[in-house]
Amino acid sequence: MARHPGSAQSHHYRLEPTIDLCSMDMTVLERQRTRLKWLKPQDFGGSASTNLFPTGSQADKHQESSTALIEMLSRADGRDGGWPDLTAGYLAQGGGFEPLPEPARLGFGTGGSAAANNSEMEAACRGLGQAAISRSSSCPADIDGQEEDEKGRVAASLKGSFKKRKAEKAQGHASEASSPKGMVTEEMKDKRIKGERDGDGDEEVSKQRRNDNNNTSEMSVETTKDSSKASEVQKPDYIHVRARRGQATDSHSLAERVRREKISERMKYLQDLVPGCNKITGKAGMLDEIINYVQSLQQQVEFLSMKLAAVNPRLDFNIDNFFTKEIFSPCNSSMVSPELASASYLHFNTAQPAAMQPVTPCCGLDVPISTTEALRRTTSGPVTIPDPFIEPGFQGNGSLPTWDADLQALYNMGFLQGRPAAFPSPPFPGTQEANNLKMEM
Amino acid sequence: MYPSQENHGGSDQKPKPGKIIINNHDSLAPTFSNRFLKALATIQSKNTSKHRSGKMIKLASDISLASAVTPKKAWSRAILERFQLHLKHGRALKRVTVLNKKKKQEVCRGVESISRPDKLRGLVPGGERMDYCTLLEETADYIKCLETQVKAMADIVKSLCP
Repeated sequence: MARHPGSAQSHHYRLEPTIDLCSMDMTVLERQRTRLKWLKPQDFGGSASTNLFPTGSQADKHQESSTALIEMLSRADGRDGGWPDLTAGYLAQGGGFEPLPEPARLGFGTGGSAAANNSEMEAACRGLGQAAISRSSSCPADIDGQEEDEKGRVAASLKGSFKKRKAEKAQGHASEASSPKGMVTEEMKDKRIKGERDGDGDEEVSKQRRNDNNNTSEMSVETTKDSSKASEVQKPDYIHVRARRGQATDSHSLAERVRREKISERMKYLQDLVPGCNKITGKAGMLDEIINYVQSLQQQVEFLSMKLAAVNPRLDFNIDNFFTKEIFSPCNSSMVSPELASASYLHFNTAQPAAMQPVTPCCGLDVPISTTEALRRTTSGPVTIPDPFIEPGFQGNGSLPTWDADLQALYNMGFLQGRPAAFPSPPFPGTQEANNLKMEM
Repeated sequence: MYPSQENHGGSDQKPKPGKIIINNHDSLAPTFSNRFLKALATIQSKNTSKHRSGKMIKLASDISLASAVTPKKAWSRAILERFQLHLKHGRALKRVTVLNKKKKQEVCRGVESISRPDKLRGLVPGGERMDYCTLLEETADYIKCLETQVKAMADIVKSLCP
């Protein structure tokens, strides 16, 4: 599916800054909790951690502090919102959390605003303390060729009542490089980018932006496995909650679109396959036609096998001929060889009088076998005769050499009678006449 | 009983999504007729009643067709599976209709109208388990094979009784 490389892949959500205080506390809490939930299974070692933390030695520290935060949050659950004030008080003193274990204290010990190295905890706590929106950030997964422009330089700039952390990441992607870079960020706005779930994508990447020193350009990196679908430039001024015009970029609608395309492609193929399906427009009519065609083919197979069962008792005579013939000419699908025909014909002739003598009621079976040739065969079998093992008579269309005279006349009469009903005008009458069984006489 | 049994363990090739893989059926007709004729000879050697042998021949042709399709499609696998079930339990061959809960409820409620895809599912062997997309693909393949089968059988009949 051809998609514009810069097409919208992600949903942008703006956190409204004008949330009143009490609800803000809760949202911050919730956000932190969800963030940690997401963060926990992530790999903290390696590049994922260095995305957030410039020095690799701080990764473990952060882990500890995040566990401490989890603990803290679990405590906060019990306290019903009285917690933020408490933590704010603690934070203001700059001291550690008393009830928290040692690693937590380590994490919070650096909790002043001078903590250039960004610990998520500090950010969260500061956000709580100042009743500002804190960012929930996440570690982006490893991307090949992704470089981090600033290694963990966090200026936790507090402007007004908002705190903002922005991250800027540059990526070596070609699509990224093609995208415009010089966008001015809006400082006061918080943005949360929610990565779109890819077709095969398994992780949802939410990104936090950090503040650049220059604050000139910012780019977001989409970590998607499929690089063709991948990336998009964030336009900070423009927030779209819903997809842009002409772009149903929801993963569900994308998948649905792919599915619809597949179906229509297959329909087109089936249309070529089924005769008479070209004129029909509309999927329902086409499906009907397809169903009819499959049914007719199955009925033809059924009928041919019934017919073969009628001929079958004589088959052993020349079955070996068939095999040798087939082995030596494997591409010959028609399998009509003169010797074979004559052999079966001879056999047919010798067997005919003995078999057909006791037959008085015959059953005429008219089969349209092939659409082009309009083969018309007539089988006469002793249907009403009680003995099931009797040899059925078989007759070609034109030639009746050793047939009994009156029987032949009888048969021809029946055949001519039955014919207009069975074959109205077209050579291929359709499914209903495929196993048209007519009793003659 | 049938010479086609040894080909049951076929390699399952799953078609890639979004791409129609239609088998090349050039070699299908001779393979099919070869097996089918062998099966016919086997059936004929046993002295069965006429009615039974008619069904037998249809079964034999179906199985020869299914086993002659080289990259196994779902419909051919379904035919062979059904036949194996038949062999194992000795039951009469009946179409296995797998209805999910919703359809069963609809049937219980007396909702008569069967949708077209469901009708097609009933026709294509193994189609009950397919989603719509796969069903169409399998139908295309099945139609091709059925055409080959009909043509080959018609040729056999024609050569047997000119």
